[in-house]
Amino acid sequence: MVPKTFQLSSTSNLKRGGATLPVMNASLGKEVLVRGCASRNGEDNRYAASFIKLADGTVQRLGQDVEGVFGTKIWR
Amino acid sequence: MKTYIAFVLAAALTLPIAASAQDPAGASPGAGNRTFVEARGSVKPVPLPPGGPTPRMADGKPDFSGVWFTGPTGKANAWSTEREAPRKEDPIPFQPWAEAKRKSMSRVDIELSSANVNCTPVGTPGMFTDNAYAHQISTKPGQFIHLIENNNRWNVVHTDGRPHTPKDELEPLFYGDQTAHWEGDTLIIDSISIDERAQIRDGWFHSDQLHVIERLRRPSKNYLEYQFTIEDPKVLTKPWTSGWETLSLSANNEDLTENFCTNNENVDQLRKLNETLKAK
Repeated sequence: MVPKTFQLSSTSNLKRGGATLPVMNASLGKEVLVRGCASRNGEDNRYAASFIKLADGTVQRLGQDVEGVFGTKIWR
Repeated sequence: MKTYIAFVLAAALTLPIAASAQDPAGASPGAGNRTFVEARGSVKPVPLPPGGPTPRMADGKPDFSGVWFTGPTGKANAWSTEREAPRKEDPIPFQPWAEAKRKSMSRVDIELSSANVNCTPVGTPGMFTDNAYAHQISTKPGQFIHLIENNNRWNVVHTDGRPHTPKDELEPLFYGDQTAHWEGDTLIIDSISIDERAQIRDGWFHSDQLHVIERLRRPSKNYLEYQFTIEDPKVLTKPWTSGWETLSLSANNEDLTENFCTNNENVDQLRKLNETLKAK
């Protein structure tokens, strides 16, 4: 397993968007899928996250929509 | 949403994950086993109704008290299902040297000049213009109290029309030397002697001659409107006035939450990025 670090929005934005602590904690230890951008400063395993698909299949937004894919089908 | 970068500042999370970073086609390992899911914001941009007449204070002036979000929905619009339409505004009349300097700044340079990246005060007019978070305003006759969730900042302005501090006593302050008065139902906040680190908008630097005139009005119970004028004879060729920005009263009677700039890795990361880009 490789730890990966993701930069997210503030906790207040996350909570207001639905990504509350219980929602996120429900996926701890389970496989999730994060979509984001890799760091451009040369550091490995560091990303800025846009969305997360949680273990139950629901999707939460985590940060900037840098790809401009907001509202489109982006997961498979 | 106008200040996308500001939302990506506060937290870092380490989870065992399968990353699809830089994978717009969804070609991560195991991609064939996944099903399409629509990812979108959670806030539908349904404008609030006017909500009733403008609440008024004991002296008959509009009462701006309440928790306010940018935009018309009465909710945080960071996660709106739709992008915010850009405001219609005149071009900013930068002097040629200032325009050249702005054009020479990379996106990283602009971010590194941001108060929200550096965890420094946003100042005037940044409390309104460089703040993507909720506002709480409390007004009473003679006083305007402004709290913002962004780093839990606050500012208090007397609204009794008192004059500015004498010129020989002025010192640079992030909020500046402020005075305010009413013109009809519009509150005019006048700020001078503003610290050069105070934020205007998106890397817009200014001089020690900055003069900010802010206007606030509450046309109905659910709406607040904000406009600002910038005078800066060292940077601009003439004064510039923004479009009116709409704020809406919290639809769910929300409170401001604790929000502090801690564990900030942004400055180090952006500096590393600048070094990487310049080395190429």
